[in-house]
Amino acid sequence: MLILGFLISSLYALVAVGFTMIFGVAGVLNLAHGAFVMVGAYLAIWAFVILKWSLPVAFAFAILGVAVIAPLVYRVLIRPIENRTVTVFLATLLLAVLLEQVIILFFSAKPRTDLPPFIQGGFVLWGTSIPYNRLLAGVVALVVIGLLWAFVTRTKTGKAILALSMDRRGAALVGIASHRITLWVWAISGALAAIAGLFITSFLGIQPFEERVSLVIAFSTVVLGGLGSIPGSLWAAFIIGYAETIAQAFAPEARGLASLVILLIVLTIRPQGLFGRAAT
Amino acid sequence: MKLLEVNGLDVFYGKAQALRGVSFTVQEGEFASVIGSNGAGKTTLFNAISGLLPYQGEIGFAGQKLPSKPHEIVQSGLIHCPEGRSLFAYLSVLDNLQLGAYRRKDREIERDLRVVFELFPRLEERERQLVHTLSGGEQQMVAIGRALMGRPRLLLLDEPTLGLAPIVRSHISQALDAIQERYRMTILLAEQNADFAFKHSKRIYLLETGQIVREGTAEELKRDDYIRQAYLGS
Repeated sequence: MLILGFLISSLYALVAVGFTMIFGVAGVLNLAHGAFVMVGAYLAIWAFVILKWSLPVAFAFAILGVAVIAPLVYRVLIRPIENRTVTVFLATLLLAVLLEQVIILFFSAKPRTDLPPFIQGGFVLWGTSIPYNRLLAGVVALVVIGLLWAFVTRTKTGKAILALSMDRRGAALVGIASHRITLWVWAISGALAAIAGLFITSFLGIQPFEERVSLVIAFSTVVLGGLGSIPGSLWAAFIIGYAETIAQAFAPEARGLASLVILLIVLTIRPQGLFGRAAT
Repeated sequence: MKLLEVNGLDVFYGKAQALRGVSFTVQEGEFASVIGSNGAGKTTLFNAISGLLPYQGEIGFAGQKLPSKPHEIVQSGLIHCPEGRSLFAYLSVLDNLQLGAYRRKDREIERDLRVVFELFPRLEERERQLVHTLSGGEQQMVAIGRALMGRPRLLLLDEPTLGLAPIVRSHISQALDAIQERYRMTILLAEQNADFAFKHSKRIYLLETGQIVREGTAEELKRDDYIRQAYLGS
């Protein structure tokens, strides 16, 4: 159970980090982030089941697909209205609903379970059976997060992303072209969402309304960790992942509730989240 | 040679007009200052020049029309060290300084980093420290250092000594002298503290409620009765 909790947590971390990056850099609470998770899954189903591409190609196609769609959304939908916070908020909500409906139109609202695990089989460790696919998901998620960390702390573009999230005026005055960097951030965020979507779907299946679950997870993780704090999101993802795994073992129907209870408790004690910087 | 040429600059915040027909020039190699009290429009003027605010009027830089986007303006060599500093608080001193050279591709970035460390040895001692843990004076050194890392042809310095202790102020003052003497850099300073501005600059512009109401060399304006009474306090 400990290991399963760890593995599911690392996928939540992927979803949450993408969500928090967009908030941190662009100041946008992207309510369509859950929809990105779902679109990634359905792109893979389309490529694998309908176009009959091989599984790795279908996965790559889905990740690239969302990594292209997400910056397009920023460029076409968000950028023209980016100074109007409430309008942006509503626009991302409408986009989420729209993507849900588009998926229903093409795939119907029925759950799909036909995206197979990337690798079959599994093993038993301390009485718990662990499918290889879940192990792979956990490893991929950790590697991706590690690469992302290296990217933002070691490369010039990565540091520009951090700089932009800390001080927009300062970033402009050293010559960082904020719109270009923001496109990158949406692309990365989309790719992370798609990777999580692929693995979640391959264990649990997916249906169009599932995006709301991903969004709630992203939201609670990010708020728990402290909005805009990437380390905070990582820790929070593990807390929520474990809470869900433990809740599922004792009372499966309460799985979603566990994270909300933790969120409520933490926010009562520490409103800025675990790692949030108190507003100055 | 005229390096900066501002002509008939108007800036509005909604319906309120913050700058009215501001015109002035800065010669290459010169240290010039815009003085004026709080709210006179100095920061607005600098923000307009560096592309952070929309304006009407014309700005020429090094004989050409100044580009409109902040990153293009930085690329052309006009670097703004803003009031309030706008540092990257959760990055190290070194990261902040290196980001100052974000637009540069030349090979002298390392050398300029040495120059900044010579001017402010304190920064080298603290290069790994996160900027938000530094004192106000040290943060101001990072801000000036970061601007210098952009290798400015023209450096806009907005209130570099605001809120600093006298000892830190004199340290910054010495650094400005050193920058000017050694690198013959063109500097435009915005200052409330007229004494500080007169100490450093050759040419002074006085801004009041969004308009330039006096201009001249520091020598001339020192003798101006109005300036002496209202700004120099002597």
